[in-house]
Amino acid sequence: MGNDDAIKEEVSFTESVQYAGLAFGPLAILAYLGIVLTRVFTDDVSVTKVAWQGPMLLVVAIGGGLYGIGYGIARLVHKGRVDDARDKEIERYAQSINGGLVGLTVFVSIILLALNVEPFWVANNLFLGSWFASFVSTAGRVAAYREGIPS
Amino acid sequence: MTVSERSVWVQLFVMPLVAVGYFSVVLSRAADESVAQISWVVPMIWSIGIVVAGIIAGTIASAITSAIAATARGEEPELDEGDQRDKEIERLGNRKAQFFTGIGTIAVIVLCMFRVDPFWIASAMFLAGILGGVHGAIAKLVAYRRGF
Repeated sequence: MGNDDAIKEEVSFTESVQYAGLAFGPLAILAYLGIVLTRVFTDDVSVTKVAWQGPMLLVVAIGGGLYGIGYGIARLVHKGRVDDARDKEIERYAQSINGGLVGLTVFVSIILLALNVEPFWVANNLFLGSWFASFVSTAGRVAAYREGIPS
Repeated sequence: MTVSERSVWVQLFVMPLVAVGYFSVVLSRAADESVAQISWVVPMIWSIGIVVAGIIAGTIASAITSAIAATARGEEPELDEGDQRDKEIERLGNRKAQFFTGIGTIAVIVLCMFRVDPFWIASAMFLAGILGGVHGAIAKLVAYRRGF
């Protein structure tokens, strides 16, 4: 019994949310890329002329909505504390990773704008870059839970 | 005052000044010609360069000035690079700055959806970056002065 409790306590609520995010994030982005790339090949238009706006809005709305509902249900079912000081510290660490990568994405976007490329590239660089930053920072959270925050 | 805190103070002064400079230049150009014709790239490169160089030069100048003043008073100059607390404050400030970066990212994607002129897209992004930087710097200084 004691052993079971120890295993249950090993993965906190906040940590299990990270695993859900790691599994769910790639699905959402693959759905977006799948729709846009299918349109590129089937609509017979150049990649920058493809209608990317609808799929992006849909993926954000459906993905965000499902994640929100899933999180809400998990939160209602979960009993006890959701996070503690360690969770908060890991969150700060992960957000610093996220911030660095988003900063890099924004910088690349400014360069793309300066080169006067199609808005398609700017928007997709921001969208995919933000997703990548979020994915890497979630992976960083999981690593911090398992191995501690690197000093 | 640690070197890290000094650089935050410098950042708080340099960023708004550079933003005012950038927008004065490009908006005065916008009064004379259409936004599609405005050359905004060079002022933006200058602005980003001045922010980076200004923070480095300002921090060094402020550290040297305070070290000279401390020596003149017969005290030991404080030139610590910072410790774990500085690192934590740095992370806190970056987290606060991300709020504006996030809003800016969404705004830019929406502007791209409507295919507005790159001038507006780049300016929106620049403004979000400046607001995020100033907001983060204020959060860091509050943490330095009053604690977390």
